[in-house]
Amino acid sequence: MVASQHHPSDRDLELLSAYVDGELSDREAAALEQRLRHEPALSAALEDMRATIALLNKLPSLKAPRNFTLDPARFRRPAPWWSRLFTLTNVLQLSGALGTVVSVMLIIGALLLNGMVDQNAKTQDAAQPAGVQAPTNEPQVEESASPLLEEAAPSEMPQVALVPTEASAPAATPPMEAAPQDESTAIAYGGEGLIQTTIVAQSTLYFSTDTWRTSTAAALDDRPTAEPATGPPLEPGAGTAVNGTAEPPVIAAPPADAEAPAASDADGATDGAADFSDADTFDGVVPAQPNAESEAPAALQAAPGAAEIGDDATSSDDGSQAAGSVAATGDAMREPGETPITGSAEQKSPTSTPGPPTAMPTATPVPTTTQQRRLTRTPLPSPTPSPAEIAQLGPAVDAGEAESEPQERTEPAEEDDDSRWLVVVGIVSLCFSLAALVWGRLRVRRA
Amino acid sequence: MDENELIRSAKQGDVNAFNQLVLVYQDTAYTVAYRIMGEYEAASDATQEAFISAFRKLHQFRGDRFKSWLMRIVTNACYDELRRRQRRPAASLEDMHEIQLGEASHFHSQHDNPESHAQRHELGAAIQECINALPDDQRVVVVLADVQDYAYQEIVDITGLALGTVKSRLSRARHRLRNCLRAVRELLPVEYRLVDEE
Repeated sequence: MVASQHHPSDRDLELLSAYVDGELSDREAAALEQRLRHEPALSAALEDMRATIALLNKLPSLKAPRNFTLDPARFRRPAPWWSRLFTLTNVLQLSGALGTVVSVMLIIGALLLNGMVDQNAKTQDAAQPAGVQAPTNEPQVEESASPLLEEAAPSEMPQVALVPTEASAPAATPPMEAAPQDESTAIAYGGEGLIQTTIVAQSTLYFSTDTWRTSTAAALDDRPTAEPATGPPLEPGAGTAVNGTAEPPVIAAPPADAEAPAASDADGATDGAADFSDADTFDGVVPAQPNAESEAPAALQAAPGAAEIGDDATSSDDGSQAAGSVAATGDAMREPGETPITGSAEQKSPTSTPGPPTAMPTATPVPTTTQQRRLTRTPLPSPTPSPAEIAQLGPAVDAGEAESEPQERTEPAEEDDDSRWLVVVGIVSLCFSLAALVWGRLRVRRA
Repeated sequence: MDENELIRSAKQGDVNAFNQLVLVYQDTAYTVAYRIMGEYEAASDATQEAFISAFRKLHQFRGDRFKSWLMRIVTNACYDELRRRQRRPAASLEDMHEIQLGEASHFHSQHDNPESHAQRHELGAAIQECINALPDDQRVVVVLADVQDYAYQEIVDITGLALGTVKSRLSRARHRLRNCLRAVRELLPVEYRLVDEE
């Protein structure tokens, strides 16, 4: 090989390299060959390049110093992504994590539910003693009657009874004072107004008109005979001053200003007397214009403790208002479809003769409405009911309460149990979830 | 089993089938790795990494020339090893001595006599030293082209370089090798010694 003093350019070296490898086109090769015949340096460079390539080609191939084969136990074919995802380790970790979250949420939800149940129970307990109930709710009518039956001095005035008069505040009626039975009539008069009037009104269903007071007293004392009314006179509006010796009117619904015991003042009593016989439409309402000569609700048979007449009604006008209000309330209390009670019709259908007051509905006319039936079935006692009265009325009332209370108490208890079960289930699932999560992590560390 | 069946089995996860392919191509792979790396240990590491990577990426092989595909993986493994070793200090004289000794042990010839063996040993060492002196990119190209005798297009497939880049790098590498070998011409066989212009 002859070394050239003229060093070929990089382009010439590239042409020579390609020419040696046969990578030049025919045209490029021809041109290069032409130059090679005229350029000795280029030709020398070509020779040097061919010698260098020859040396490199003579380098021997080497033998691997060892086998580079793979360990079958260590190198397995990568599984598909879905199979790699659903491995035992991944399943354990994922299920453990999800289970932990769900368990915690379950426990929190159960605790919240338990708290809500407790609050509801407390709310119901707080609402119960107040006895505040909707006037149109039939069950509440009975419920409201129960405290009155049980308590000597009902402090909770049932709203269901009547619309309050201007002189009464049923929602805020202070408890009536317990009075001796011989003063029940007086207590009745000194009552709180409408509610008491209602109570009395209900009771007056069973009282004869002319033996109002005496009947009341007798009922309280469980005395057979009724005495003439000696108590304070009944205002016409307040109630009905039973007057005369008319047969006890058959009135199913209580008049608004209840039939107070016959007033000592005949006029007052007259004024306040409920002219049941003259009432066109009773609707449980005392006729607006008490008529001294009316048949009056003398035929009403007083129920124990019925002689509770609010003294708020002090005039016939008031009585008319009360009557009207009672009528309105009676309408509200009446069930849909029921027809108003025509007091006159019922007034004139005595079912019993005046006599000892009894609380039994047998002496009363057959009620035509649910309300009337209910009212007749639940005569209200005096402020200080005697044990006999309570015994008579207690079972029915107590049964009603028993039916309702356990039902109310059971629900919170049941819900409380459910929430406790949820907490227990949540805790158990939380334990299993944490165990699965830990197991999965241990498998990852071992791998 | 032919190569295609072995490849098919290996694709399905048969490690033993892949090991058969390893035994066929491991010498070639190691040679390429050694010529590029210039060191015994580095070449072994690169070769092992290359085969491991080849098994894991076997699902990407689309039926082309398996040898070219495998050499591409070997080359990439050598590139990675070179980059890793660039952070290390330069090779010491002890490493060079190891290279020379390694050359003698890896050469194999049917007609070997002490004189020929010595000559080949010196020649190989000299050439390897000149190859090692090349830049990495030129070294890879010249090893594939002149040591392994790959065509330009195969070099393009293996390295992923453009054809013009391959040509230019190859020409420069050969010129540098020529100059390097001229310096050690005393070691070259007489027939390969460059004759100075008179």
